[in-house]
Amino acid sequence: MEEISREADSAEAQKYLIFMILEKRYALPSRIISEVAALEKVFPLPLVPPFVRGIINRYSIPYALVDVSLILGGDSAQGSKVIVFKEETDRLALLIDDVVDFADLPPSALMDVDQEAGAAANLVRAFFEWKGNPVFCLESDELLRHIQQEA
Amino acid sequence: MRYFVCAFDDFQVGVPAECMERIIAMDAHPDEAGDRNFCISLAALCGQKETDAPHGLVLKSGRSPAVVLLTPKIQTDMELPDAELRAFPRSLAAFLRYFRGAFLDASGMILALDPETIIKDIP
Repeated sequence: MEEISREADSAEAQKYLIFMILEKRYALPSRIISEVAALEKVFPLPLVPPFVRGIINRYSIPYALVDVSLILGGDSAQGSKVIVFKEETDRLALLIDDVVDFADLPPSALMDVDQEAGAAANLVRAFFEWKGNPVFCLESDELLRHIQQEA
Repeated sequence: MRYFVCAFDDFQVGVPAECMERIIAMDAHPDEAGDRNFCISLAALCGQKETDAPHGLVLKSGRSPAVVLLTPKIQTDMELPDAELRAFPRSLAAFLRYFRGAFLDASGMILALDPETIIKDIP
């Protein structure tokens, strides 16, 4: 039975990109990520919330640069890199400090995060341990919902 | 399409010439502001602090009184190809509903205003 369960876990294992923002480790499923790039020029936008830092130019296509740290109630990130989402998710890029690692994880490796009150709480619902450190999984759907709700 | 471009501190806005009837120098015709026309401040529309508005762009609206967009100094007019106009990410569309999209190159970004949506929203 345990063997069957292990096989199921392996079949459903998902690759995550682990990255740092302000000394904390976060992860996103790699299937939604198009690339990681150095942060270049940011073009500020009017009328958007402070966590949208502006537009970045990826191959002449505008991507919204999002500071997740601000949404989560922290300080503004000082990142030097961006995680660029695949266009089918939305044209978003997250400001990060650096990439840490890749991890292949079965669903059983994810543990629930104690939910705190607040609109941004759903952005992180699960975490896992990676090389002795907690890594918080960002919910990309909730991120999109949160941005749109601010409008 | 030809655009009249004006600048705020952090970004530039292009107003499509095809949506305009004429440009008024507001200093020379201060009476064009106020009661005679329906004036909209581009600075307020963009959530910016009010600046001098030396130019009034009379929009094609079919309305009376005329709709005048008060803008900072028009810095230039330029031809920007429609094919290079890029839509905003879907998540930002609701914030930027008064813009058609952006022209983007290595040197900068111009936000293309959508006067038709502005006029539709006038009660």
